[in-house]
Amino acid sequence: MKRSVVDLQVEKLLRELHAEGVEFVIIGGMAAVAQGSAFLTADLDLCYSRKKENLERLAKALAPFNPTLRDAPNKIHFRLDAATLRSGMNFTLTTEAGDLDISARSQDWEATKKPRSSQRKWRYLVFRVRF
Amino acid sequence: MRTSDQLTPTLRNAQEEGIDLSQLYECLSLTPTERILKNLQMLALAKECKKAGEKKRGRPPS
Repeated sequence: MKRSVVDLQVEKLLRELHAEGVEFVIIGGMAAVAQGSAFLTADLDLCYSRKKENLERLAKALAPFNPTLRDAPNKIHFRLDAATLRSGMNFTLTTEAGDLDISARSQDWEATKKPRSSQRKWRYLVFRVRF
Repeated sequence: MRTSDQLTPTLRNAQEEGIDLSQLYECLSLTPTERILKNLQMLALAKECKKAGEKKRGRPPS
């Protein structure tokens, strides 16, 4: 099934995540780009804390973008809320602001505390990236 | 292009192997915001090229 491709709106997503106080780091291709790689990437990958309040914040931050499971059949009912986030570790999502992959694997989250994780700025927003 | 004595051993090896480091230097001269914006601009260009290709062939690539 061919899906419509939405332009990736990194700033919109980051603004919303910050506004809700979500604990996250950018990982994957966009982290490589932020660190200076000439690699071209078409989605945003995030790693987030699985703390209960963070799952609630994350679900609230992403709700305006109507996230759905990427490439899943339309008949599958999917609602991204704290309970859904608690029951899974990785989600590949399509949102109205582009493709978004989120991961809460504990080793990934722990890795964000290591020295290779660094602080970067997106205009006035500050975020952490790890690559 | 930087001279060999300005490079770290890893970069020197890469340059000697013929790897073009100019894109890397250009990216490193930008701020993280500029790097992400540049990626998004290139992505938009890639999508336009893909669309043009599909229009010319009259169908998406298989």
